[in-house]
Amino acid sequence: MNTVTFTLNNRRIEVPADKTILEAAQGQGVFIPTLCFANGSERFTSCMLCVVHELGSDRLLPSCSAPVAEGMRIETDNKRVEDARRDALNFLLSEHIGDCEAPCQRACPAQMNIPLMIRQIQAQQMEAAIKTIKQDIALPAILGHICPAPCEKGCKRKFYDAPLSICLLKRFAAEVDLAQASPYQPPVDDKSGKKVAIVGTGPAGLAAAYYLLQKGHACSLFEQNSEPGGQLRYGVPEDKLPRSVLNAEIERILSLGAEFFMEQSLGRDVGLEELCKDYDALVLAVGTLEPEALKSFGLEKTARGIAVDKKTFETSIPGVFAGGNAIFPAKMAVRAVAHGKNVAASVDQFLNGKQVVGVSRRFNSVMGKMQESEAEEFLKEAEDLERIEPSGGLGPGFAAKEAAEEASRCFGCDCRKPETCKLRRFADEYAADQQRFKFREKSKLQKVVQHDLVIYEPGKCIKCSLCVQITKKAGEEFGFTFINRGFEVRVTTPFHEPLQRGLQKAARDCVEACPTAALSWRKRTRT
Amino acid sequence: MKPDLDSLYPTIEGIVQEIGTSASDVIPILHAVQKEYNYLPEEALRRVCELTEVTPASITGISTFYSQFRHTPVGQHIIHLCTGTACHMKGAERVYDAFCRELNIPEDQDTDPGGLFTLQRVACLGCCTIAPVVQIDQVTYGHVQTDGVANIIQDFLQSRGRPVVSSAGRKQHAEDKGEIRIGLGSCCVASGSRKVQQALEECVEEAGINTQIKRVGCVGMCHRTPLLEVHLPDEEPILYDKVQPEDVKKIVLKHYRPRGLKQRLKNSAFGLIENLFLDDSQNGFSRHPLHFRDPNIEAFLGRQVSIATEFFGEIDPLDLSEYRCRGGFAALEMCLKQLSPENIIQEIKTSGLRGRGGAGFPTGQKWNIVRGIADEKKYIICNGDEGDPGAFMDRMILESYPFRVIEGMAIAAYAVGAHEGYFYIRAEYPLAVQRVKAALALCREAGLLGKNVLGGDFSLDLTIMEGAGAFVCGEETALIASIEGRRGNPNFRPPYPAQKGLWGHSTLVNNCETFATVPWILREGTDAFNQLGTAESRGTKVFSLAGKVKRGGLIEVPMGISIREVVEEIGGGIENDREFKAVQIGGPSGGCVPAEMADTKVDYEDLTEVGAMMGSGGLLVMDDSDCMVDIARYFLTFTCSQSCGKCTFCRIGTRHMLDILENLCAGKGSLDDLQKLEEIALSTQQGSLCGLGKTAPNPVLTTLKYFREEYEAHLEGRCPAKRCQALITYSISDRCIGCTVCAQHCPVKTIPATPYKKHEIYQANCIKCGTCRLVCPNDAVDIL
Repeated sequence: MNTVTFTLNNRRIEVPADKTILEAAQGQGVFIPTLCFANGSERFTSCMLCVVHELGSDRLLPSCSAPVAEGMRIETDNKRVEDARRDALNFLLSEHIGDCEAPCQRACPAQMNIPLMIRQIQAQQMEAAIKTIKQDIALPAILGHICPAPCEKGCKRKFYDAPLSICLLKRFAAEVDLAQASPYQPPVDDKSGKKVAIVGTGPAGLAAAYYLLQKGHACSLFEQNSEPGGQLRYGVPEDKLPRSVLNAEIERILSLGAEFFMEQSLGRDVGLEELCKDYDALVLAVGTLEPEALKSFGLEKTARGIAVDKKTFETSIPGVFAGGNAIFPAKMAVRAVAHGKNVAASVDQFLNGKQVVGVSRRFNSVMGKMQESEAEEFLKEAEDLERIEPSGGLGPGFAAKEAAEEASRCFGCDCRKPETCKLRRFADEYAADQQRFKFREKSKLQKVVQHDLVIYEPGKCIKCSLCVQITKKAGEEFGFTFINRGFEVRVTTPFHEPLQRGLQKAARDCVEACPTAALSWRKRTRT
Repeated sequence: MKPDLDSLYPTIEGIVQEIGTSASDVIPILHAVQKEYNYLPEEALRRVCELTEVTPASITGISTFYSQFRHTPVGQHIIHLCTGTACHMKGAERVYDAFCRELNIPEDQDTDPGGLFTLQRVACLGCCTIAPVVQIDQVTYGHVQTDGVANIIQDFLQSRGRPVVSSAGRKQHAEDKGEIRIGLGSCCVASGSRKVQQALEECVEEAGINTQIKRVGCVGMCHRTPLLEVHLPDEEPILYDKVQPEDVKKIVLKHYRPRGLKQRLKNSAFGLIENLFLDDSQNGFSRHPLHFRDPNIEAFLGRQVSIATEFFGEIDPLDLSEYRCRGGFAALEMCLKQLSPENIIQEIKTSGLRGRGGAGFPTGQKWNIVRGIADEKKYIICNGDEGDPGAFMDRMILESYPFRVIEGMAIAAYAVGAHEGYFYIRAEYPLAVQRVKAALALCREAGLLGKNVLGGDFSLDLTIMEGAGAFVCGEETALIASIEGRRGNPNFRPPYPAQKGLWGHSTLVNNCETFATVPWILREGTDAFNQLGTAESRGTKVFSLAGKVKRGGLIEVPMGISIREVVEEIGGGIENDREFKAVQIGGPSGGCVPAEMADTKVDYEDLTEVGAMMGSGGLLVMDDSDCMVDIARYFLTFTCSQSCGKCTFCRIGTRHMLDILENLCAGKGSLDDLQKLEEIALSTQQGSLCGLGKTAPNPVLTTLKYFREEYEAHLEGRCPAKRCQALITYSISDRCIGCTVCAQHCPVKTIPATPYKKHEIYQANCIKCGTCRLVCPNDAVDIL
């Protein structure tokens, strides 16, 4: 067999002459991203994400199609390659019509997966719903009473009639849970042997404890008052937040093994240095601080509170973290709850000896403001009902039937493949920026709901040709085809046949091969 | 409007029976279906799928890829409005709007309410010297102005049903005295030479004159068409330009006497009057005879060297014996009988010939690669898919010298070992298709093609494949995809067609000008060719010279000539005494070279150096009324619509560039636009898969480089060339004499008629069509 010798990332390698650069690289364990190429597919050479740099000619070559050649000098990851891949991704994203995460989730300070919760409520899977909620929000019943619901301001349905009643739905799920004999208890890791001191038992402190306990770390909470809850108890009137609800959710945290020390004020009853010595990590969730008190801690500070790293919540002393109003006073409990969760993640990284990076946000494609015509598309998957108001008033909240009905209004604008989408994955890896190249006019959302199993969103299609190839190979009577040319290229069924007729044999293969959520299962994989 | 199935089914069956049932027959089948119905009824396409191997997916993909194919019914007549560069520069969009208004075509539609006319923009028709050009069915109109649209429609409707003149001409008789030559290239025809030919034949017949009427191909002087040349024995030939049918009789009677007394008497009645006009100094006779020593013609022809266009204006495109008399097929005969394929390739290598399609790859080397590939079957393809708006070299060569291209192809086929081949010709060039088809038949008859060419062992079959309206098919891998019956998507090279081309076999693809040059090189010797041009770019190059130049046309010049020499000496400088601003060379792949750099040599390397490109040879001259931002926008509109849409960079990058350019022309640019434009351009240039995407940014990059101040002016809401509609207003000055002509012609009635008083334009309703400025007899309409 003929072979050629060439240089791949400064290593000389010898491979069969009929290999492509991509195949040769894969053989060496060198990863090159591809969207339009999958093993076994034709080389279509459309996405151009697989470009590599040939130093001899100083050209970028699509590695999926370019054959190896004697004496080539290939680099697969230098700056020029990364820039080109990022440009390709930015171009693709500039015409990508879809939200990775729904706007409600993005607007939520705790980034709770709201659409998933709504679908679970609609399907009356209440246990799943509370699990979804508590993944990000430690005190959902409490917030269900007092949260100003920034999520509802982001809801797309707001631009059609009225936003989903997200806050009440969450409260409904949380109160259904609390009313059970044994409410939801998250799984807890094995004991780590580490101890964390949390100063303050307001929403930030409680939330931090909730997540740290799940990681197997022992938590001691110090509260200056006689009862836990901080501002929730001492700042919110009882008619706004029934104490039974407050106590019930604190009880959930206690039952995870939290240790509370009441009437312990930092600087008066217990010192910072002492805590640092006795504990492996320290979380300051002390609420709004007086300038005097702030000074006494000896931590670096800002005009508003304790200075922390924005991503990791680390203060100027290693092992000491801070969150909630202690770093920046704001009257929004959900923000403090979110801080608690994020602080917990950083503390856990710290305790495990890992690099403290905090909670990293994934890439998010954003559709932007909803256009009028788009409601019609969303309504293909949502009930055209008016927003439901609880018949018993705000106090009792939703009845079960009302909750399910309200949930059915959800547009479901979150992506069906947020985890498996390759476009999102590479956008993350190459730090793509969807705002980099913007069109004057946005293309419109379109949902093709014409198949029992599959939903097709042309606006998410990157024209990779995989489904066109698959349906052809499968001998579909109609299958998929490209139509038009240039920027107007679309993938569709021939002769405007409904999708059901286009995809009679190859639905599974197409959905699985589609690198984005252009083709996805109609039934959400997680409900 | 829908055809009924009872008649449709047999029709489709007939078409399929005639063309074939294999998957690769799809494009010819679609052409045939459309010819039948003027569009592609879905039922017809479904039926095709039932009868052939063509699948629904493939027929849908292909019929929506090529812009010639239509999916909705059209009016009785189709108006093709050329949007080539020269037409654009001379106001094609305004003409489009004028047609819409005249025919009351509703917005977002293309057909008038009565269903009589469908208005369509088409890529360049290749009649750039008589821009703007409009083609209604088979009738072409040149120099169309917004206020002339009504006349054109009227003329078309009136002339319907008139007999079309046979183009074969009269048989020659022994007693014929001299000959009258008439140019019948597409430009000539568009300017009315068919009518002139008809008048000529009638006149000769009626007067009983003994002369030969001879159809010749493109004369090159397209700016003066229709052209008529009188050749009398022992006399200097005389050329008449811009001849109209009514002039014919005067011209003929000036040179010939009608036969017999009776005829003379018969003629004397009108002859008396006609004779009055025979004095050339009279105003009434506007067609001046031109002697070839005329300084204008001398300057136009002086620098030219004819190789690919040898005997231009002299030979009948389809007269095989004449072509052979003048040395045609001698080179082929020599090759077949005296030279080995290796010898031929060596000759071509020595000559230094490089591909004339644009990229300039050494021809001999390409042949050698194909020759060296072991493949039991090889193909040869003539690339005549000239798609550059503003270029018409290929059209002219195929129309005027089909035998020369066939000869060059045959030599190449023999040299590389190919026995089958294709002419890939744009569907927009019907005359070229017709002539090549006829030439192929004549060659087959004469034993110059087919089995045992010229009695030897070599065999060659050539067929025509008509394109269907896709610029990208000029790219060789896309061209091959198109012949194979697929969407014209280019593929990554390697493998090159030479290695793996048509149907997976080794294939030689050359441009038709390249082939047309080959016979001359072999006949006249490589030294003769070598002496022309520069060290790296040997020989000559054919250019279509158009735009704001006095003498546009088809020219063949030695490589290395300067842009200035082309524009000023051959082209006679800028028309209307305006200022020379730039030349655009190489069409959408090329760039704009500013007047200050007019000493740049026209060869492959020097043009690339300045950011332009030889391309296929379009050379458009611009004056100070041409806006460079608008030109960049124009080219990006073109590339964006012609991109195959496969690779990310070209598909989306060109669209982003166009978006920004449209914003700039509309006065809506933002400060970071220029930087962003440049970044996208560079990114598209390096990331695109094929030549189209890689070169699409050139018009942007060169204008940004040489005319940045114009871009900056647009950011401030000014268009210095006063071209971008959103940034200008029309205004009537004190020169107004109150004649009301503008008020009468204003299509939106926004100029009240105020006789003998200065007129005024009410800006709110003004659509900036420029008609007032065009019709004003006193030049009183200004653009501010």
